Amino acid sequence: MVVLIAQLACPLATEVETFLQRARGLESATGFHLYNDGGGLHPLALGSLLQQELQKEVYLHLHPADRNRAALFSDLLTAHVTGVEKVVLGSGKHPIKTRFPEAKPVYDLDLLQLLRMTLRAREGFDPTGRPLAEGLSVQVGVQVRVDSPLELLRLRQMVELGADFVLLKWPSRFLDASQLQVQIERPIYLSVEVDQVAREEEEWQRIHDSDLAGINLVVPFGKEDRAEEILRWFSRYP
Amino acid sequence: MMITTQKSKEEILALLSPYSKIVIVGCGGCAATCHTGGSEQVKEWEEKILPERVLASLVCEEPCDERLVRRDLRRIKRELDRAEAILVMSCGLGVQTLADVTGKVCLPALDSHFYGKAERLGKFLERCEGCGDCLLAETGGICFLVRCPKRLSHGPCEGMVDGKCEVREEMDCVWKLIYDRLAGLGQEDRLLRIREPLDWSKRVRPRELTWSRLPGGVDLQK
Repeated sequence: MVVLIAQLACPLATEVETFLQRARGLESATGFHLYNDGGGLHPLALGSLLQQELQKEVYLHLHPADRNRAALFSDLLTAHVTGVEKVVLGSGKHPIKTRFPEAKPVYDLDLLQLLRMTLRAREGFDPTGRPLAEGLSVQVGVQVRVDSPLELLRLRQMVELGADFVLLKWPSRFLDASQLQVQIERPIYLSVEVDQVAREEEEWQRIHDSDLAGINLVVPFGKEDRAEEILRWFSRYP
Repeated sequence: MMITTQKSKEEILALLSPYSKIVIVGCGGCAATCHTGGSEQVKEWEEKILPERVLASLVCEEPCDERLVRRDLRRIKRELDRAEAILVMSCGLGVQTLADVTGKVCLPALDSHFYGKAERLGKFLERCEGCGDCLLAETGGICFLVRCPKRLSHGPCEGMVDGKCEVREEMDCVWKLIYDRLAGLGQEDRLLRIREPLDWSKRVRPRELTWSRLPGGVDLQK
């Protein structure tokens, strides 16, 4: 495994220094996946800080739960000019599951439509079909769960459209992740929360032996040491 | 039909408190079916709750139809002229129609919720939002715009667990239901179609429809 991503939720207040300290402690991570579903700091602003200070890859998580297509497109343009080239697309949590349960859910686009808009921007077109000055430099991943035939069908559709990589939510009972990687011919990063990874190294070995492209480790606040322990273990293997 | 519930007695009495001469108008359509604004409910308010203050009452066939409202109100024209306020026991359409037609203070006795189907007496389910672009032929007769809390056109989302909805965990994911229905009909290939995002420029509120010709061919211009 060469790609070891630490997924961090953006702070819900202005504690930038605390956030940077968390990131500094995750030395073995090769990149940071910045996720914001609670009205916190904008991941692009944090991404710029991380890139400047730690020179590590930043993955911008975009979802349509609280943004319409205009705002999402704006985020894509801003990612391009700030040098963030990896974008992970998801559906996003419904506001009722966030700290703003009274907020209006947006969902102007769904994941598949957001993917299409992003890929068109890469080709040099805005959502209305008008040409941009240049295509956006972006590699596009999708964060999905594949627990049923319909979810597999949707993933195949997204791969056919042009998704570059997949963050596969774990556990998946429907299909073994390594089988899935062979089927869809795209790099799969296993997306797993720190507490879902058992303490036994045998399990870590099993994940490693599944021959996936990497791991996306969701790191809750206060679990940085444990996350670093897991990432360090995986980083020993080329 | 439009599903309604009656406001609390205290809330309605508070709305009526400035007025001593009141007309009550009920609904012979949806609100009657919901048992919120039919003849029994109108009678209860007239006879038991506001006996001294009600000048007249009637149950309009369809208070959302301006023509029928004008026709039915003729029966109580004299009382209506004297009334300070009308308590309307129908959905918001009826309240607004009465207000437009009479120019009087019209007070809602009901809260309007959604277009619903009646599963049984007292259980109503939201199943249509009147989007103006019906896609039910493609989804096995199940509307994802109404039944998916995220209104996803290509579900499910990654929040689905064991076929259940992320938002309401007791509820089956509508995209699972659509998949099962289409699979049963041998129409799974309908799931492969990729839909464009909704065009909100065509949904600017308030919407209006004006026909120059009835669907049957009658010319309305003549």
